[in-house]
Amino acid sequence: MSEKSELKVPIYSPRHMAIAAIFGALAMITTGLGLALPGYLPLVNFELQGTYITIATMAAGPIAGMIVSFLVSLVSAVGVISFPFYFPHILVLAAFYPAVYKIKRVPVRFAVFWVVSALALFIQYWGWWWLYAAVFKIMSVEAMFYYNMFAGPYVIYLLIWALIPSIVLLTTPGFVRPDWRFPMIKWIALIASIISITLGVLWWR
Amino acid sequence: MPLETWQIIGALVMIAITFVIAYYFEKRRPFEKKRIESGQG
Repeated sequence: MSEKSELKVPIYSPRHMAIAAIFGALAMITTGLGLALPGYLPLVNFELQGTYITIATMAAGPIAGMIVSFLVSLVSAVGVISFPFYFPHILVLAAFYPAVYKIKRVPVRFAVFWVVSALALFIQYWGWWWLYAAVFKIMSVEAMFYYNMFAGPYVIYLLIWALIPSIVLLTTPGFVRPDWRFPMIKWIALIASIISITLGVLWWR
Repeated sequence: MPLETWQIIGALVMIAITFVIAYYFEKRRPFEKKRIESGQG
């Protein structure tokens, strides 16, 4: 067996841990103080944690994104039950992000980042619609689909999940360099996506 | 329902803190081990 000459990338380094803690704290402060855009659903505002979850995932990998999602779910209006429903977005973003980062032309990198974020958000949404329909019984998945996709919330959430992170990607690319690794990320992202979409589709009406 | 002033200021402060942290990590590289470049032999 030949020894690898290159440095082994740690699955979770002190730097990753620090980023998860810092952005977890920022997300908790923002959500805990009620810094949210009003008007999503009754008793549910457009909370801003997506910004912090995305940046943590970009800079420190999906484990950091998951830690931030767990921490913020402790103070979120939806409650701690919500944190696994962020995972499809985190994993899909993490599956594509290293390839996005490698794109040399900055405008193309910027645009592809938005496309990946839009896809990840759409996949994430199905699990949330299931949560609101099956657990909280606010409205059906079908109604959530049409409301979110055609009445504005999708665009607002996309801005929350991608605007600041895409500016960070432009202005401080060294900070969000994907120096993390996660085993079988593409397969795990695929499985999480299938679970999220299947939940939503099964509770369509 | 419009946002209250404190919410707007608070959100702007949080955005500013995010960029300050990103800039700090970009420039100072905290928590990163200094890598020893090793040549052949």
